[in-house]
Amino acid sequence: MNSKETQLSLSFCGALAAVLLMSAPVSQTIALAGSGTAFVISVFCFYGGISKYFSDKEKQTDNFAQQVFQLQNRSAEKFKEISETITNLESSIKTPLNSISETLTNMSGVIKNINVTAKNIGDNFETLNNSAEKIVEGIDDLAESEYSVKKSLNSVSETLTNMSDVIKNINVTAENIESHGEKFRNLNKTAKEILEGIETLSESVNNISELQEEFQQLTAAINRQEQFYKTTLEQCNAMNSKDVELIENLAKKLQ
Amino acid sequence: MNNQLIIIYSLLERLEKKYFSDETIRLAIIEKNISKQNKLEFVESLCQTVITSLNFGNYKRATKYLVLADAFCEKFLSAKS
Repeated sequence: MNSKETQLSLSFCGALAAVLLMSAPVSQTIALAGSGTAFVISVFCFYGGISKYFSDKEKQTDNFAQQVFQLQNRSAEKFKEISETITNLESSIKTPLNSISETLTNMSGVIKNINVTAKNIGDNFETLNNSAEKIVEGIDDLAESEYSVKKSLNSVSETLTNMSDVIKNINVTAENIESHGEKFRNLNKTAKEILEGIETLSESVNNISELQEEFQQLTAAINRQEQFYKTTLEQCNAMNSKDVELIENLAKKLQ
Repeated sequence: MNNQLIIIYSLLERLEKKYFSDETIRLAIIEKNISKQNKLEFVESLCQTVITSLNFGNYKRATKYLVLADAFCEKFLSAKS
């Protein structure tokens, strides 16, 4: 049993005795006597506990000194191990630290670029704001145009109603036209006959073209005949040998 | 140009110069020789016929009328007659 436990047990016994004496249904003197004895017992117990505590404390200090010395030795060894591990760690950490520093420098460049892009984005946002204002103005114009469109739609609906009346009239006229179907059939017949006549006309036109070729051949023959006639006429009208003699004699006379 | 036309036309000009000059016409008018005037008109009509036959290219006919005019002039309009 250690010092703390003995001290607590003694103080607990003294306090229990004092409570038992105070709560007993006896006269006040007996209660005072009980409390006095309880106080005396508690004082003795307190003294005993304190003395026990200090004696245990001295023993613990001796043990602590030895433990501290051992711990100092162990801590020195541990410190050496830790220093070695730290040197190893420093050598091993240097290369990643260098790489980290390079990455950090690269990151700084990237961050600069990001700042530039952020500025550009800000400018773009300004332009977007301007365009949004213009769009808002356009929306106002659209509202006005929507009003005008509504007006025109009303007019269109009126015209559609008028158109429906016109279509009704057209239906009536179509019915009348259907009543004249026989006349249309006769017209179709006559149209077919006209087409047949046109076909025959086209055939006759072809024949005319053939005749035109023949006529051209005939005109060529007539021209040849005319030329022959001209030459024969010239030969007839030309002077013969007798005429030449007469002319020669006349020329001799008239010289 | 046709040679026949040139020859007949040149002979007609010579005939007119020989028998049908301005002097013979003036003398016939001054003398009031009506028979000579009629002969001159006849010769003139013969010469006109020669010209028309030349225009139509009928050189044979022109030759005949030219010879006829020459014979008529020689018989009735020459100095001998």
